[in-house]
Amino acid sequence: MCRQRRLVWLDAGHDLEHSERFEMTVLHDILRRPRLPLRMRVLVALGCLLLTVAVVPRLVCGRHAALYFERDLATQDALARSVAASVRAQRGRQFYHTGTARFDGQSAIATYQMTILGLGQVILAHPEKRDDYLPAIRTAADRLVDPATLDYAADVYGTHGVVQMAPGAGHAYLGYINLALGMLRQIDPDTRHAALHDRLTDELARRLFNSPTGMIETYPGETWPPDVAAVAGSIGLHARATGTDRQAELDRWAERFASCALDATGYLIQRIRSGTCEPLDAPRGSGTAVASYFLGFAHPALSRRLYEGLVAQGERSLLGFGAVREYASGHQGAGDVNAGFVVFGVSVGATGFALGAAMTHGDRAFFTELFRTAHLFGVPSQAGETRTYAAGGALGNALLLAMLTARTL
Amino acid sequence: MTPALRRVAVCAAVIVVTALAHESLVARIASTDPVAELLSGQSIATFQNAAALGLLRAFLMLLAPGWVLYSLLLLGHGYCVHRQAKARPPSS
Repeated sequence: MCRQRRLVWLDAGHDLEHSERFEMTVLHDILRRPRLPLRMRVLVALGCLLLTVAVVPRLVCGRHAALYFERDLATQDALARSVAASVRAQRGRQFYHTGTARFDGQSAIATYQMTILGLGQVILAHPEKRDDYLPAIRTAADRLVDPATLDYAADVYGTHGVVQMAPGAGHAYLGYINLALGMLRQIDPDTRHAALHDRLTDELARRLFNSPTGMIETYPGETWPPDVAAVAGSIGLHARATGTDRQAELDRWAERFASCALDATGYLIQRIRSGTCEPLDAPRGSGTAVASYFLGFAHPALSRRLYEGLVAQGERSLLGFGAVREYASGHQGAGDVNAGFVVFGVSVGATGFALGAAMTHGDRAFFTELFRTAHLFGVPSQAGETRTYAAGGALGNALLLAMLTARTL
Repeated sequence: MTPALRRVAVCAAVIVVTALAHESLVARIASTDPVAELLSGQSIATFQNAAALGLLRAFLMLLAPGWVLYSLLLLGHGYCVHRQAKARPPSS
């Protein structure tokens, strides 16, 4: 069209005095007409897509990672507020009502435990927040030690462990409760649960340190090494809170525990046959990661060993987003309630708990990659000064708070 | 409005609308407990919300930045062509 108009103009004998008008017509046609060939435009579009996919998501999802890693108060506070409010607003003892007493009770125990650990870690990093969060911690602790919260334990043992522990009965689920009480004891030494904390620790320590395999049962016939790690962590945290020295006992126990439950891949076996070291489940990332976090309170060397196995065996990364595989090499499975969703071999549980393990061992690079994934799938929602991870619910947010505020060894 | 400018405007409008829809959906999900809904049997609604949210986030994080960059590049290219044509002496 441009060429035709030009030719008509010149053929008509118009001279240079009209060149300005001609030029504007030409320019107008230039701007209107696409200049790049289609193939070139497709290549440019693809290049733009690849460049932005490689850069933008990791920048958007990772922008708070450094703040969490450096324990920025405002960043921790935003999530801590929502978790504390969730616990205070909870009317009943349990958050979920599936009709399965075991799951309902255990999920409540986990929510309260992680709430106490997370808020406690915030207070340890920022003591000026003690008055803000101690009420929520006390509320969580009261419900944690209430036998009715996990009545499944009383069903299978006859009595709940906080009431009485029969000789020989494992009650390793108490590790979760006792670990939270240890955190409470650290920031509130005069807590009314101090006597219970001392009694549970003594009972659990006696069982753990006298076990030839280093294992005790969670429920009759069920031995789960990650639960045993919680028990050991609680004993270590009690020692720290009360000034007791249990290092020699923990060292001897750590050797037995590792030889019994640590797989050659470096992953922790998820479940073993009671009284033996025979595996009943695969070496799993979710159990390894949470055990590494728990053992940070009791035995840093064993915690480190688990973490190194977790990274060597399970670290996965794509475009700056990290995740952890659930099953060790040579093993497969569909996951379970501990692992959460398992997609392309990586699991929600292993990835989430690995956040805490990475913080515990000061691994900024891996923490940042894992955080990006948590941010992407957790869907953070900011309302004023409060942040919630919309996809997590009460349990997910409490877990994230504990993992994102973990203390570095 | 030139095609390039129109492309940028459409791109911006679509991204703004998508972002608003995303924030609205996130606020709705955050006001409930998706885990509780999933466990209480409301899995269809939960998965619908998750699918919608996933699509919106995928667009905003993966496609939208590339679209913006592509539109701006074409706009810039058009502007350069305009400058070159303007600087070219009129031919006789």
